[in-house]
Amino acid sequence: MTADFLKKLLRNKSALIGGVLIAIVVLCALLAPVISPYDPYEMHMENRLAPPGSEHIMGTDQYGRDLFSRVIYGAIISLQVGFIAVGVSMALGVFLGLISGYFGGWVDRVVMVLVDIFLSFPIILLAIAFVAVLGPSPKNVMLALGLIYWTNYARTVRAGVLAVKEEEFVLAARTTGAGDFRIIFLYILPNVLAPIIVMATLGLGTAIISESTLSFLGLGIQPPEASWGNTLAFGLKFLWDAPHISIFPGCSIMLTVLGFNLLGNGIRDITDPRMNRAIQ
Amino acid sequence: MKRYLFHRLLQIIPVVFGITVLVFFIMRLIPGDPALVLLGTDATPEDLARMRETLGLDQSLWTQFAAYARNALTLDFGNSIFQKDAVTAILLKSFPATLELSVCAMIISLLIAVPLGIAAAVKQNTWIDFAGMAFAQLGTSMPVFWIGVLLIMLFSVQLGWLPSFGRGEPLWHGLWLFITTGSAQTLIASLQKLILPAFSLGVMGAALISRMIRSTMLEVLDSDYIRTARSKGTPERKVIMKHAFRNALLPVVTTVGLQFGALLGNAIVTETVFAWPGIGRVIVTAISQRDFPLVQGGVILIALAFALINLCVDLLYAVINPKIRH
Amino acid sequence: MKKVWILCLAGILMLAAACGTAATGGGEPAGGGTAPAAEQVLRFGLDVEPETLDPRHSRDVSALRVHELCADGLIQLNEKLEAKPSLAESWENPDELTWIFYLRQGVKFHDGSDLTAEDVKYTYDTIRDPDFGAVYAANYSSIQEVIALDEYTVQFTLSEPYSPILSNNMELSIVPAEADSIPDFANKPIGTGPFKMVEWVKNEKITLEANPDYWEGAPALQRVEFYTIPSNDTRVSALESGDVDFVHTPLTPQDVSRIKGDSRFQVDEMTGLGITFAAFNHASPVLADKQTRVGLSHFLDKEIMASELSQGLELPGQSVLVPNTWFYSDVPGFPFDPEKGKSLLAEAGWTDTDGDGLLDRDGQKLTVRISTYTQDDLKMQYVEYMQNLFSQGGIDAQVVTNEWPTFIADVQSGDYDIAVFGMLNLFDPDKYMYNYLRSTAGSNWGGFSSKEFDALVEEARTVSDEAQRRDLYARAAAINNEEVMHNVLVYQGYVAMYSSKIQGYVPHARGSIRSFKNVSISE
Repeated sequence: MTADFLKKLLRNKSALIGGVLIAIVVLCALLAPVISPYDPYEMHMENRLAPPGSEHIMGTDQYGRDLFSRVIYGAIISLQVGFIAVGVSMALGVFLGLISGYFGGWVDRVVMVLVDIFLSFPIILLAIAFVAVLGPSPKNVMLALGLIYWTNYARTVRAGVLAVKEEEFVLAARTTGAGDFRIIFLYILPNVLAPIIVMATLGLGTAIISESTLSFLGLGIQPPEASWGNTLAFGLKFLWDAPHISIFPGCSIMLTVLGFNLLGNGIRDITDPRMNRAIQ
Repeated sequence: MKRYLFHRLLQIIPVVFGITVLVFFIMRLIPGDPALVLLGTDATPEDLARMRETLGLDQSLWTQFAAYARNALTLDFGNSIFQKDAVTAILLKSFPATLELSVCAMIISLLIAVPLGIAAAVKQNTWIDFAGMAFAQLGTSMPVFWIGVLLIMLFSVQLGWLPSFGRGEPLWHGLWLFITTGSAQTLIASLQKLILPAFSLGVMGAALISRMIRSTMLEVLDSDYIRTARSKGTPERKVIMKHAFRNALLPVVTTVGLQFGALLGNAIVTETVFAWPGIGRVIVTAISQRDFPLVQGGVILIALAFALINLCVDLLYAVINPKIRH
Repeated sequence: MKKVWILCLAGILMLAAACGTAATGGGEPAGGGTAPAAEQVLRFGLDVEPETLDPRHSRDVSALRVHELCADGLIQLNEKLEAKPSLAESWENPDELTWIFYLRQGVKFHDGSDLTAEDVKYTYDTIRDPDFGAVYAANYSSIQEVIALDEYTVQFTLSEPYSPILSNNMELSIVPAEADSIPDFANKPIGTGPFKMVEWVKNEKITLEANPDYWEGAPALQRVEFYTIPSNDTRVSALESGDVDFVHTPLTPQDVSRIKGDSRFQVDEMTGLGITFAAFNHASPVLADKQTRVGLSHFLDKEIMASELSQGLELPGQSVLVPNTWFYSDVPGFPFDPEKGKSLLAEAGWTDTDGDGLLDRDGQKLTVRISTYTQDDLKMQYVEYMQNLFSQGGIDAQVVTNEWPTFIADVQSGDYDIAVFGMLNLFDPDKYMYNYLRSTAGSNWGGFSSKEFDALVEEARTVSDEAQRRDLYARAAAINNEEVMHNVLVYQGYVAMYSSKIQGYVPHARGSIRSFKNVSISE
């Protein structure tokens, strides 16, 4: 399926543009030490809030640090936030969805009530609460975001499991004496993955946005570490004197999230032209 | 139908109970002592101990929870530690503001999404389609607070067209005055204060809804019975609006319901940016002070509201689509 | 793409705004506030919503601002922090345990009742009553008894000599004697002030109207409206867009420099009555010896913090004694001198033995956590800058930031190395030095212990001569610096920014807006 899938992906305008945007960002993050002209943590108080120019192409921040270098290094943190948060929520959600759909009964009921509880808890409040419990270290911010976004994965996987559970190949596997978990992971999981990939791609963007929102509320990645979210949130204090401090990280967030969204929607168009099926 | 309704209402109970447990214990897990926040750094250890006793925080967690749950059953959610007033009174005063903001944001979402979605579907694979969808995506790609701050900068500070913060008279009151007395002044003043926060909150939802409309429209436009309608010579306009769009409504209703939860969540941020006197701001402040009863009550109220909205969506769904009668 | 988007956005909002201006009769700013000429209304932007407006319960500065307009205390501290008559026309202090206040006659509460000695007694009796549960009850613990000698004379008997009593206890807003039986008193308090409470719509607006029967004469303003706008940036935007007329500290430094260049506004800046300090934890293993603490102190560039990060809003700090007050003395601080800091640290045994660029001693790195709380942008910036200064000196410095409740709980339990926070309203040094730095003080969380310091601050609260007290505090402040207990980073500034139409406002280092009774709005 992969070669065919890639060909379709390249033909899909949305996925192509999204993919290019993401590729650029990932490249920046990987090559951060090579690309960035200055040390992102080095302060020069005599040159603070310098506007973009030939020496500092994005200008400097309130401590005279090179903004371009900080945005480049910020890509590392922001992508980390995205991937780890999505990884955690996907692992949790897929696991719960699988067991809930496969076993049914009280397991199913408990998981679904849990899903309902988390769904009706305002997401950002939950994030605030988790970060406050865990403490605002980068690791904890990622973990907290992971712990709140698992519900959609669980619901989707559960629906998928219910659809394939009674299929012949699953029943056949059972008659050969395969254990429950063997069946779940070897036979069922591969068949419910497609919508999960779409969801995860879209989730990467959501996680990056959520980190910036937490930063705005004072609970995101803490300085001196540079994430796009906290650079943007702190940069808003200088909106008039030095708009560049918030505009560059803000646009980085915007383009990256846009990239993930376009890519995710592209994948969805390819794997399932009638997207409403995935939503319900 | 009645049985279905009853069944759905019954389902809300474990969820609300779960929320109560979750929020109660999360608040106790968060480091920080409300007595210390309340009394300030001058307080002596004796003062603090006395205040903890007054607030009932010296008792075991289980005793506290049992007492809380018992009172909550009689709709008594206690008093705010910092504002002294009853939690229910504080929340009931601020909830209409949040509701007004969210509903208007949803209307703005639809105002953007519906024409965009239809246009994109009708002009599939043209630049209108692509540009429209990308534009909708931009709205979800920017943090809500950033959109809010930029809107204030542009429309309040630079251009001076719209007020920068706060809420006017309740919208329904303005409407009522307009209907009864014909004076639009109150209504317009309220709308002016509402438009920026509602817009910054609303653009977020537009992307998902417009995509949804586009894809369902495409599916329907491709169906046999549209082809039949076209072949019968029905004007294209009528085909699109009457046949295709109406069929696209169904999934839209579901999405709108789901989006509403996201809206309530994001309203918290918007309310902070625009100093909107809603429940989100109350809860955020309460969390940062460790005002346990107020946070608990607020979260339970939002959860209830969310559950009820979902219920309405399901009922609406059942009404629109008579095939579903559980 | 973006252009299209902005155009659409602009289009929609333009339409809305156009409808609005057309209907309200054109020309007028959208806030709908400034109607022609002499509408004497002042709209004030608060940073936090008051929690309660009962002056005996309230603890936030927003409530204090409202009380300054709605109520009066026995005395009033003027701009120089001297006690001036208010509801008490005069007072005397026959012996060190007795204070007698003579009330002004003919003063009426907003409900029309007369102010008498019973009201004063009631106010002070309730706030000290443990069952009443006032947050600041402990602050009044030196008062043993309040007696109404006659209708207009009140006597306070103290349990111990307490010289800061006027500034610390006698500005309390007096409430009428039956206050607790007045329904909804906490939301609609009654006082004797120049303005009367009209309505408090929570999280939205507090409206006051002029009290025509005020004992000093009716104010010129007809109404004062308070709006709570939590974000510092939005609050200043509201000033710029004309939606409020007056904002003051806390403000973002960049906003202040911008407004200063705008002729529509007046900006008053002065040294405030607050300090921001780095509290060194003497119980922390790395900071246990004095040499290390002094060495670290020389790495702090307070000049840059004040001039650059705060844009001159705050002044570099030297000691706990605030400038421009009666208790100020020039106590030497720690000049920025990283070389000296390095050599002091080396003397204390901290050198880079393993060549990793970080100082160590006995195989232990010099690891210092600098903590502060996230709600204060400026302190966050100071801490980030301090971390950088320290790490340039080879110190392994880490930033720890939390919300206020978590931060202060950590500090209280001794889980910190250097904690950056502050003190406000230091109109008398006693409260702060006695409660935080004395070795047996309740809020001494850093394990400070200097017998000499204790003796000085204990003596200072029993002495009533100002010059003598100043001298005692100067010696105590010097010990605080020698021992590096609280290393004062900056003296906080006070800034008020308001529409140039406001006439007659007199700024007050403490942020008091009592002068609003003499304020008018000009065309």
